Amino acid sequence: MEEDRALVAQAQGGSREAFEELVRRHQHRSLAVAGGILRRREDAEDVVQQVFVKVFLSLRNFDQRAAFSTWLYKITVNECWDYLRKKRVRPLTYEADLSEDQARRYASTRETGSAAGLDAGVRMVTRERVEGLLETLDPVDRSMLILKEVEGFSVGEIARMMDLNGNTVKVRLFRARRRMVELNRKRERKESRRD
Amino acid sequence: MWNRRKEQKRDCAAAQSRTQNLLNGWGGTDAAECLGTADGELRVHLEACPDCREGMEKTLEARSVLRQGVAAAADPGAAFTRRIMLAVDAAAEKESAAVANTWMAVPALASRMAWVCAFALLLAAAWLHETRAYSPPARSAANGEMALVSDSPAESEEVLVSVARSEP
Repeated sequence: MEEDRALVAQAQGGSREAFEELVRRHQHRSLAVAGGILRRREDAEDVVQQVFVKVFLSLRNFDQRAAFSTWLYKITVNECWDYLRKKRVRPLTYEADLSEDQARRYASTRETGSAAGLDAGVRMVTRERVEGLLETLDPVDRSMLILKEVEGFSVGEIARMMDLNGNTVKVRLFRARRRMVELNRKRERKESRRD
Repeated sequence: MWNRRKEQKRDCAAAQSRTQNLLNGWGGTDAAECLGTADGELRVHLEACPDCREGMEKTLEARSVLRQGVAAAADPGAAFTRRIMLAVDAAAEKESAAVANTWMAVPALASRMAWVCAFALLLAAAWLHETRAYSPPARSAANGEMALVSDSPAESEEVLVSVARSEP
C-alpha cells in the first residue's frame, strides 16, 4: 500500500514507468473483478484496458485519501456496469434446457472418449451447469459470489468496491449461496429422474 | 417449552451469523476442516444442531460448485501490460494533441474573425452613412419659418408663462 502511494505520487508527477508498475501490480486483480461481473475474458480485458486509460487521465485528481486499489476497483466495477448497460451483453447464454443437450454431448464423449476427452466433457458440463446457476442470480449477487468464492476478495473489499455496507454484502452472499445450492440440488434431482 | 424454543431459535440465529463470518474469513471447502476452525461454543452448536450444520454445508457446497465451474482469472502477464500501456500512450497523445489543436485553431479562427469584423464594419458604415444623410428640419408650410410651437398644450403654456414673467 505504501509502495502504491509512492508509485501514484511519481505517476502524478509524470512518471510513465511508475504508472506501468501500477498497471503491472493491479492488472490481475482488476481483471478478476471485471471477469467476475462480465464473465467473458475478452470483455473483461477490454474494460480493464479502458479503466487504466481512465485512471491515467484522472490520476492528477486522485488525492490518495482512499487506497489506490480501492479507487481502481471501484472504477472497474462502475465501468463494467456501464459496459453491460451499453452493450446489453448477457454474460453467457445458457438455458436450463441446454443441460439435456450437454448430457447428450457428455454421453457421446464417454462413448468415444479418451480419458482426456472425458475430463474435458465433464469439465464442460460442470462449467455450463454452474454458469446456468449463476445466470439465475441477480447480477450484483453473482458478481459478489464470484469475487468472494473464486477470486478470494474479502467482504470488506467487495463492500468498498461496490459501495455497499459490509453487512449487506454478508447477507446477500448468504442468500446467494443458499439459492445456488437449492437450485443445484433441484437440477440434480431433475437430471437423476430423467436418467 | 415455548421459552426453550425461543431461546434455541435465538441461539441458531447467532450461530448462523457466526458461521457466515467464519466462512467469509476461511477459504476451504471441507466441512470437517471448517468445523475444526470454529471456536468451542460454535463447534458445539454446529455439532448439535442439524439445521445450522446444514446451513454451513450448503455454503461450502456452493463454494465447491463455484470453484469447479468457474475458473479464477489467470494472470494476464506482460503482454497485457504492454497492451494497456499502448492504449494509455495513445490516450495521452490524443489528449495533448487535443490541447495543441485548441491553440492551433486560434490563428485560423482569428483570420476568420477579422474578415467577419471587416464585413460588419463595412455594413455599419454604410448604414450610418444612409441614416445620417441630409434631412431638412420641419418648417411651417405657410411662412417657411421653423416650427417652434410645440404640439403639446402643456409645453405651449409653459412657454407663455415664462414669456409673461420675463416681460415687465
